[in-house]
Amino acid sequence: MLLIAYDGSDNAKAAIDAAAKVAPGAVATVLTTWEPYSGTLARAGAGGVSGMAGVAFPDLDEQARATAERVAAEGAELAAAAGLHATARTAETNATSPAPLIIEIADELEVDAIVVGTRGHGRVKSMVLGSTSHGVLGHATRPVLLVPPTAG
Amino acid sequence: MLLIAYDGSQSARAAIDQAGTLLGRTGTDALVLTTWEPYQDTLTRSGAATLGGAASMPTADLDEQVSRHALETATEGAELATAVGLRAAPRAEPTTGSPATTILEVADEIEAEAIVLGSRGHGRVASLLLGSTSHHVLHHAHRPVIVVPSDCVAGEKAARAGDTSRATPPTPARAA
Repeated sequence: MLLIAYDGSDNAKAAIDAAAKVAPGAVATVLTTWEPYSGTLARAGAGGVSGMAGVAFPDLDEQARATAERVAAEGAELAAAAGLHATARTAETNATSPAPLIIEIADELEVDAIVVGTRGHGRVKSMVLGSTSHGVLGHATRPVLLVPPTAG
Repeated sequence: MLLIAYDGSQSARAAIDQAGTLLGRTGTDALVLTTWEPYQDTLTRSGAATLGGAASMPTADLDEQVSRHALETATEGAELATAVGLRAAPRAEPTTGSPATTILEVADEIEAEAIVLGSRGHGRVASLLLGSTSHHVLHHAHRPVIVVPSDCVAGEKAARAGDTSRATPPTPARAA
């Protein structure tokens, strides 16, 4: 089984295509993570603003969750169209980077590989690791399939 | 077609093993590549070529031996790959710059769908710290790269097999 980290970006779409070419017909979980608004605020420093601490944003969080579910479903559809046996999954992260959560879910599912897209490097189009791919590569105890944008 | 970079190390063996787990069922074609450095290049790199006489040393015999050994290593890798379900062929290739450059050149030549690399796992810290070859390939490849941790995977398997000192309790994911 593959765990494909999917955020709806072109890089993530390329990662799905590459995974389908490398492991045709594989079972895949397409994972989209989302962060509660209070976490985003706290990270931005606004959590320290008077009156903001401890305020919940149920409506915004519900929107973020719904968006993540839509993105994950879209990813699973793309993966299925590319020949993978895909299911969508979303998960809530409270961390700055989704990488620890991606690794946690990879361990829970005991996947054979984690698939992440990487950013292109201008005209050269070689790989530049974003914070997520870097975090996953740096901490995963499983194979990581890194996909540059041109590889789709 | 996969390109598996194989130098005979434990890390490279783990890479083949994991590639088999991932792709062995589909019988994916794989080229197992072992690179070797021409002796003249080794001399030049080490500075010895500037010593009197070294530049004119006959290196053909040495290169013949080194290339034969590289092909033996690649063949061993291809046998391992075949044993885990891949349709593997061996290849030895002299380096034209660094092993990474040669790996990337061969990947382009065979239009590899992915390059498979081992990574030196780093002791008890279960992280994927890359060796220089893996690092170079990863940052210069314009095709998918599968990086396989070695010690980490082995450590995790040991943990599952009963050595609980390394195991951490699973944390439930907050899945929607």
